[in-house]
Amino acid sequence: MNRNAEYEQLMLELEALAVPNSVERAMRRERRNRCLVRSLTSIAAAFALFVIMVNCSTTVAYACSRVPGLRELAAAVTFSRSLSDAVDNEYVQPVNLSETNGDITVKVEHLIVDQRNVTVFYRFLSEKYPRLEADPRVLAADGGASLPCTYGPNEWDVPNGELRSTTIGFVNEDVPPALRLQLKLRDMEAEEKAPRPVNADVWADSPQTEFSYVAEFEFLLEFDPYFTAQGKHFAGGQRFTLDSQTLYVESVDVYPSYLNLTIRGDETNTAWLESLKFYLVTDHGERFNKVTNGIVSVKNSEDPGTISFRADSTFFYDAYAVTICMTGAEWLDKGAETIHVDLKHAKADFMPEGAEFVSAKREGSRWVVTVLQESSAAQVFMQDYYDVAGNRYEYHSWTSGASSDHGVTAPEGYSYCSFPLNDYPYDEVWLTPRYTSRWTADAPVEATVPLQ
Amino acid sequence: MRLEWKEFAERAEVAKPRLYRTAVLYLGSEAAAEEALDEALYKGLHACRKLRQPEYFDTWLTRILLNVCADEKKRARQFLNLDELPEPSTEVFDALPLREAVRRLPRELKSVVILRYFSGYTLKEVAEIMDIPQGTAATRQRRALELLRLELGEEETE
Repeated sequence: MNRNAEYEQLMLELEALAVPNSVERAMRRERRNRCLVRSLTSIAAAFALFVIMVNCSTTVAYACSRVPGLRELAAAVTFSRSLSDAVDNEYVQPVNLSETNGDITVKVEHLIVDQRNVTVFYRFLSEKYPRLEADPRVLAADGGASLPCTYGPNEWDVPNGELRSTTIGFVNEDVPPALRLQLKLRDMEAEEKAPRPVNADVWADSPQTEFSYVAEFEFLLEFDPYFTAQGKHFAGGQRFTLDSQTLYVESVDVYPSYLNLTIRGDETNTAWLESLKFYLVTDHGERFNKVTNGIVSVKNSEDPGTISFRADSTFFYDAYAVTICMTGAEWLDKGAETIHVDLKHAKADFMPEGAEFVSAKREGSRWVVTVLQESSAAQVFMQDYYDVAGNRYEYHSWTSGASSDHGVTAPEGYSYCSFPLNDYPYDEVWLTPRYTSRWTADAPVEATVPLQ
Repeated sequence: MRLEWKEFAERAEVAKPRLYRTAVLYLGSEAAAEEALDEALYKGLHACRKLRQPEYFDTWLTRILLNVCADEKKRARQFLNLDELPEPSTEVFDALPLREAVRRLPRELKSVVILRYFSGYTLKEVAEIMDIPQGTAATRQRRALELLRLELGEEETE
């Protein structure tokens, strides 16, 4: 090929390139910087403080310039719109921790931290173990007690060498200045090849599995105070009615990693709000959906009338107001927190809407209960159940299928769900329903909350 | 403010493909080009109110991009011992594929040839972007074509 033909070919290749979405990213980055500057101007010595922050905090200065590895990080956070927005806005604390133990090296490279959440990004490097998974544990910075938080890996089956992440969430308290992340590594290939014990009793509560770990790592994660301070609280107070029940927006908390919407039911309501279908729309018309994986809602253990729901965050969008658009709900009638079931006659006093009691079969020392419920819904009964004296029990296994024990096929969209009441000698039980009734809106019910 | 941003976004959207192609050729990789384009658009957005004559938007933004690309090359050079060939000769460039040969041209020649023949700017615009006399741009263009052994029109099209 001569040079001019090569030129023509190169022009064609260049014209075929997919052009990146850089304009939108630039707008977001500029918006984020304006937000930062605006919030700082509310402090008397705003300018001085900003200069001090940038000069004294290496991570802030770094974030204000460039964070290396953002492209790979962006690919690793596609499971969360909030984290994707955080990466797009370079809201990342770079760290550079590495530890080698035998044939394995673990590198911790980035953190996305705010007032309530930490997402740790790390990778495993090993030639000996092709597939590794970690059991994480979160400890106080001094290495002592476990911290009161939720945590878990965000993905499975990540090839060695690629970035993976674990999110650590603090529900009732703020992220501490530092913590220790312990990672116990399992050799998944060896575990899959190992012979499995044959368990004839499918309903038996199996003892806690003890894995044989191939290596253990521990990292002290210290958070930049700039990041752990990020989160804005907005008081609500807006009153609205869903399905004849009166509710109030208690508050909206906007963190970079998620938005927390807290709703309180009126004391005169006849039911507790258990779940909510909703989305949010900002004053600029940008839409945000509720979170559907990880922690999606948190019920106040001291006040069952108050419940929080999580949504994708508006943190990086410079919104002055957000409208909550509610399209459906699940309710738990007050006084119906447990359902009495006559096991002997396979009869429940009542059942949650959309579910049917099918059978209760005595199998030795246990009962096996089967219900018919919608396939797409979560289980209609929680894992705890009670005897006549109010003693609490839990079941730990269940099955779900399209056919019943008697070979009857479930209607379209429904499945049979069975669970055991192990070592349960009684003929009646009180099961705890997740909800009792449902409501779907003809048109979204809206409540607008100012974010300023 | 929002109107200015909106206008910037609209104009940048139109200019973006050409800017991206320029960065890809200048830096030799799509990943590096994307980062450079991100940075250039951010800098442009940040400074767009300072642009007094909107009719120069394209050349102004291209100049920002070239500066970002040059900074990136400087930064990369600290880590890698390869880049523009120090004393270019036609024989050396003959041995390289065109894309690589363009990337390895000396900076002044490379900018001219990329802007002129791959990004589609006129010689007058190239001179404006690079802030050099048009005659100098023409000389560099000729030298670059010689090195690359490309036979493309050298005359001004406008």
